Amino acid sequence: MGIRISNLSKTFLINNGEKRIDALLNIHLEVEDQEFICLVGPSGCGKSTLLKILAGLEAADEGLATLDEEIISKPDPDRGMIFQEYALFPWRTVRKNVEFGLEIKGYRPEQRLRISQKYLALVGLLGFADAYPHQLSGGMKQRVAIARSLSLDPKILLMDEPFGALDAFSRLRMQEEITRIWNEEHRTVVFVTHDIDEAIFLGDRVVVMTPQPGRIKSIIPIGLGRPRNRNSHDFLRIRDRVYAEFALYNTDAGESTDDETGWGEHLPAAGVAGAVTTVADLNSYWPE
Amino acid sequence: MRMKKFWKDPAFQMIASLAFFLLTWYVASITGLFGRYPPRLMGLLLPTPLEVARTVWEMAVTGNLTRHLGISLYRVMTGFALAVCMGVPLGIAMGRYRMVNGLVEPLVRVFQPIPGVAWVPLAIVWFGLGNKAAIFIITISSLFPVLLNTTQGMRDVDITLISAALTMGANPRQITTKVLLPSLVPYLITGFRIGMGFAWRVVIAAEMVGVPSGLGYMLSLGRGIGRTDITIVTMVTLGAVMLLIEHSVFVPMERKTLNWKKAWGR
Ligand SMILES: Nc1ncnc2c1ncn2[C@@H]1O[C@H](COP(=O)(O)OP(=O)(O)O)[C@@H](O)[C@H]1O
Ligand SMILES: [Mg+2]
Repeated sequence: MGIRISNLSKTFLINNGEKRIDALLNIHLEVEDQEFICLVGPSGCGKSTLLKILAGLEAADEGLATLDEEIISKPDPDRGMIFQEYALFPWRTVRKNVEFGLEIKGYRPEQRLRISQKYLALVGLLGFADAYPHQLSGGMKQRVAIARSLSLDPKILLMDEPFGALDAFSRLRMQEEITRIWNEEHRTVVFVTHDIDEAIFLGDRVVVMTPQPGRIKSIIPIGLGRPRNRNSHDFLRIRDRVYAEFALYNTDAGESTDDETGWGEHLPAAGVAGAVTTVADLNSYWPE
Repeated sequence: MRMKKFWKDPAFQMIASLAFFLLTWYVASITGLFGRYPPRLMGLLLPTPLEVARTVWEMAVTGNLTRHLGISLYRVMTGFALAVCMGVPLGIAMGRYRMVNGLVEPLVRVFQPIPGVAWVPLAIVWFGLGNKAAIFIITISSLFPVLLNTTQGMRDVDITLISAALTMGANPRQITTKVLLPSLVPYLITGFRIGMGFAWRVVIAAEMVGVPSGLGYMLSLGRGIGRTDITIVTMVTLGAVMLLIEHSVFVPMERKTLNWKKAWGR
């Protein structure tokens, strides 16, 4: 049961087939039911491609992915997807956005209202049900998108850098928010990010990926309870370990000093970045 | 509350500007700004506003004005509706299927630069001096703005919205009705507005040079029989009708889309 990805590869041909890009090469991964798994890696390492394949929006060239033993070949409401760009319909109100998938399923208006009400309450946006997306902040838009996905009661939730477009404060806040939502609505989550701290804060396991070709470098179990403290000793220890994965990758690359991970500049700052502040301190900034 | 200074009131400004215009018109027509004829014939050059008003009344009573207006309106609406029925589906198909685009685009490139009026002689040769010829050139001329705005809208459709709809289980028909068409609305409004403007222009041209009925016919008839007042009344009617269409159709449509317009400009 759960998601099983075996021997999955995907190659893109560009410049009329002159150039091959191995977006994914021999990916093996198993995700258990109700597990929160994070994929981290620099841009170009195939994270989005892998999510799209899981969503059924792209087809793999080799290998396959299954959900509960069924081969994934096309999109299905069982597999919800959250996009970095929110992907809300600008001509629909917040409520109508949440009800979109229910309309597709042919639910009656009373049923739609009941369900949208439930999930708008879950993400704390009942008061904005009649607003239009352009009237909302980025964090609120993403909460609408989350409510919209959950309204279809999916088995898994695929999230592609969902907080990537948010400012640092909203980002921390949304990380707490998604932890809370996940506690209330347990799902299998595959969460893509290029923010290592975010991955460690959220995931049961962190899958470290590297580009060219897109591969899984290592899988790191987090083993911390929730809610997590970003400054705890254990958190920082795991963080060092994940950073080390990328540093190792660099030295493996031989004498080349090219920054193949695209992350080199972040490494020295590793010890500093997490010490800034805690979200608990920040919460007082939101009157909401 | 303090009274607003009355000259800052837009309603006052509008009345003042119209009054100034009418006064200038009146002075021009009695002093012979556009040349001098014997007093009996002065109306030939520029009848006074009052004479024009009287003609409006006269034409309204005889039913001439409404009859010819109705004829032009019928032609514009029919031709425009045909253009929409062809342009929108064709534009969507061009956006969705490379093949359709490849087949249709060369023709668009060839025919689009030809001004609609240039079709008048051919239309008259093919369809005679009647509704058919007028409707034909209206359709041809308003087709391109409708078509080109639709294809532009298709190019600008946000792919992520389609992906999102797919992951929620939408089938191709639902993608079209619930994602593509709403995305196109602002582009359609623009296309319809321009198309409608073109439609009026060419119908007037066609009626002036050949097709013997409608507002364009009245414009040239007025000149031909020395009734400049009729020409002017027809001009005013045309302006009024276009203003009415703008405010009863396009402005409300645009207002409805205003809520999400901002999110569009990406
Ligand atoms: N549709 C596509 N056509 C060509 N190349 C693509 C396409 N999608 C992704 N790629 C390439 O595949 C690689 C992985 O992309 P992606 O999965 O988006 O990476 P990530 O999400 O980790 O940044 C990149 O080199 C990217 O340029
Ligand atoms: Mg990506």
